[in-house]
Amino acid sequence: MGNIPSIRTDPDSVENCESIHGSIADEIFKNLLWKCSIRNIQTENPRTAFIPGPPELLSLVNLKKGLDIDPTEVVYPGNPLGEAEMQLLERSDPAIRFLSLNQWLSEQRI
Amino acid sequence: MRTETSTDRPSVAISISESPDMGILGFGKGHLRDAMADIAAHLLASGYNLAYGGDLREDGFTRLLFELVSRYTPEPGPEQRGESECEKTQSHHRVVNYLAWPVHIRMRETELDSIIEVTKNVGSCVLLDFNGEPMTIKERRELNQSEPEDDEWATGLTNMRTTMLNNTRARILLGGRVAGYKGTMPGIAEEALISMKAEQPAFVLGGFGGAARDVAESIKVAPTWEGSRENWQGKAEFAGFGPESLKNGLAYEENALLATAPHINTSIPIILRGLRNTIHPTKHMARSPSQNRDEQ
Repeated sequence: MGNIPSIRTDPDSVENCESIHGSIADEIFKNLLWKCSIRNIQTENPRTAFIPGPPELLSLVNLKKGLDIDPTEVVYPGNPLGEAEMQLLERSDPAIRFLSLNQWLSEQRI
Repeated sequence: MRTETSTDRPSVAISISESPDMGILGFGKGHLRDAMADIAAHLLASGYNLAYGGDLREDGFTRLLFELVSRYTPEPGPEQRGESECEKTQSHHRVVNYLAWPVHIRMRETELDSIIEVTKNVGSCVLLDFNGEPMTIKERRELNQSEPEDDEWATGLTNMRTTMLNNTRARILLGGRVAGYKGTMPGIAEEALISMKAEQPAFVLGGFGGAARDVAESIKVAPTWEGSRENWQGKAEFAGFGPESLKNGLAYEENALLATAPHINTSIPIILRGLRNTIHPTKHMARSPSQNRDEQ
């Protein structure tokens, strides 16, 4: 779950409340922004999956469970994955292309 | 003398700097840094090297680029493990920082050492002589520090921009001051002019205002706005150029969007598309696994 923020804290302490609230708000707004970003996107490829966070091995497994057919493209928000993350995901499923939304949009016809 | 970091990866020059319009457009330094980060990340991930003219430390870009280069550069493969340390380092120089003659001749030796030390973490630092030819650090150390005259600034900066043009395949322009600059005209404007004269792909991002926006207006890819400036030194030289002079593989509508879009995420897909249309990828460019399999 490396791509989801986690804060280790003492349940009886209020010290981290501010950063916890900040992280939750950040995730909510990022999710909302992602939904807005992809709302008007139309793709003819039913095997393109749009996910709200950078992919990781666990989210890939869950993604496949929720789809009728295996995706061939996974599109995610933010900047492209780093070289090490990309290699790991490619090894886990060489049939899938992992693209940031900007990379994917650059390949679309306008 | 070839100074491009690698013969395998095309280099793209990035000219991003503060503009006098940022405040009125609602931008701060953080937005400029984010724009640099997002553009650099997508270019590095897509297999391009970056070229930057000027002192990377000034806008706090060095650390940012160090992180991005580490993230987007593959570990050396088995074929590189037999190389010397020097060759290994060269093959990972994803960013070249060009320092024009008037920029480095006024630096104290300790300052020069500092920028070379800092830059080597992300790539290489190329010192240029007055004519824009690369010079070694040893040659530079043999010279005394001096304050350049106005004509040294003008010629040295123009020659640096020409050298960068010869060692890169495209240029991205954003922001840029239009007053208090050194040289014959605002730096970003001169870079745009040099690229258009040489018919090198240029991507003019006007959303942050400044010289880039003025250039976009001059070549008629952006309308005038309340911040438009009547004139600055050298602006008349753009009279003979139009949208077609950008040679960036994009349609007029795409260039018009680049020239006005305030959000960098609107611009990045268009830049990547233009680069793909104009620069032919090489075997070392970032590829998807399916693309690699298709070729086998």
